[in-house]
Amino acid sequence: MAFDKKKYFYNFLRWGTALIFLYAGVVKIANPVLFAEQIDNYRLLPYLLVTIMAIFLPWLEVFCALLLILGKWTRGASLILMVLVAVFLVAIASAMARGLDITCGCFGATAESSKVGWQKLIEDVFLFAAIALVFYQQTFNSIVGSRD
Amino acid sequence: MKISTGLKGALKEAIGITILSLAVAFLVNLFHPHKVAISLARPAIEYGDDDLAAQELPAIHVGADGDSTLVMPEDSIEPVVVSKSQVLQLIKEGRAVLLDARSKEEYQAGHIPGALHLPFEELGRYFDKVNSLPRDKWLITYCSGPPCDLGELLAFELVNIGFARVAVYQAGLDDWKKSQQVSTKEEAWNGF
Repeated sequence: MAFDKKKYFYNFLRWGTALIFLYAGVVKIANPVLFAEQIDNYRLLPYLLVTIMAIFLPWLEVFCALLLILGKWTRGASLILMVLVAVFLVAIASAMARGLDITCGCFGATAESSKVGWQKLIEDVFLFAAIALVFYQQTFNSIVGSRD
Repeated sequence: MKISTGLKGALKEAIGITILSLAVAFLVNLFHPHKVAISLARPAIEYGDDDLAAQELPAIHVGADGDSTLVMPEDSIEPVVVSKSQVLQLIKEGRAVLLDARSKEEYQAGHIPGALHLPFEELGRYFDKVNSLPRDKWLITYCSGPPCDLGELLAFELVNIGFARVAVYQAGLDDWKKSQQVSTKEEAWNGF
């Protein structure tokens, strides 16, 4: 019984985080120019890297999400997403520290709700915790989960 | 031993996913209708032909920045452009009312202290308030800064309505924030 509960919990985390990243990746692939502007607004990277990241990151998110859903290469996919969220956290915190009034670029949209701030930071902390648990379970505790 | 094997496996998979994503991403970008141009230099801001932020409005030449005797023209048939120090001086002398032309959310997130909220895109709803604005003071409009032209649009609208002392702080809030504080307090429409 306890075994099942754990399994369902980890599967829920894996699919939940995968769906978030799948959505985030797809909306950014639809408009990479907007995403490039949003990355550039952070003023952290030289413009060459901004353009490369705008092309590459959305696809990385989509592939990782699809692999997590399919249950293939889940260790690698969750490792990449964990590193990505950690980088996002640092970027958001640094933008807040510099008082930048920008959208986070997390889900492509430019709505007020996506403004860089405490709410985004806390959301990302939870996302990091979720994906870190998935990574831990898939990599070190695979006997419990459903990794193929 | 088991941990390092797990990590090694994860790293191998991650490298594979990264290479696959890179290949697909750059291939798709070649054919993407909104493709990103890989470039070393940031593209310059492009203004449209009807973009008011690109227009050269007359600047106030009399009373240069920092001059303690800033002289404004008596009246003007089109908005004039003012700099940050001119805004500061006019406010200090009580000769101006600042108008924030952006959306409510943007205004609430931070505006120039003392600025009233007059969103250009909802101007129709503010008819009575606009009529209550003083005619003997300078109305200084602003937006976040280029390429936002809501400040210019609002200024032209105020001139059309009949105000003769209208100025645009064209550099906008982005410029203001470089050296001045912003406020999140909602300012009341009275006491001009």
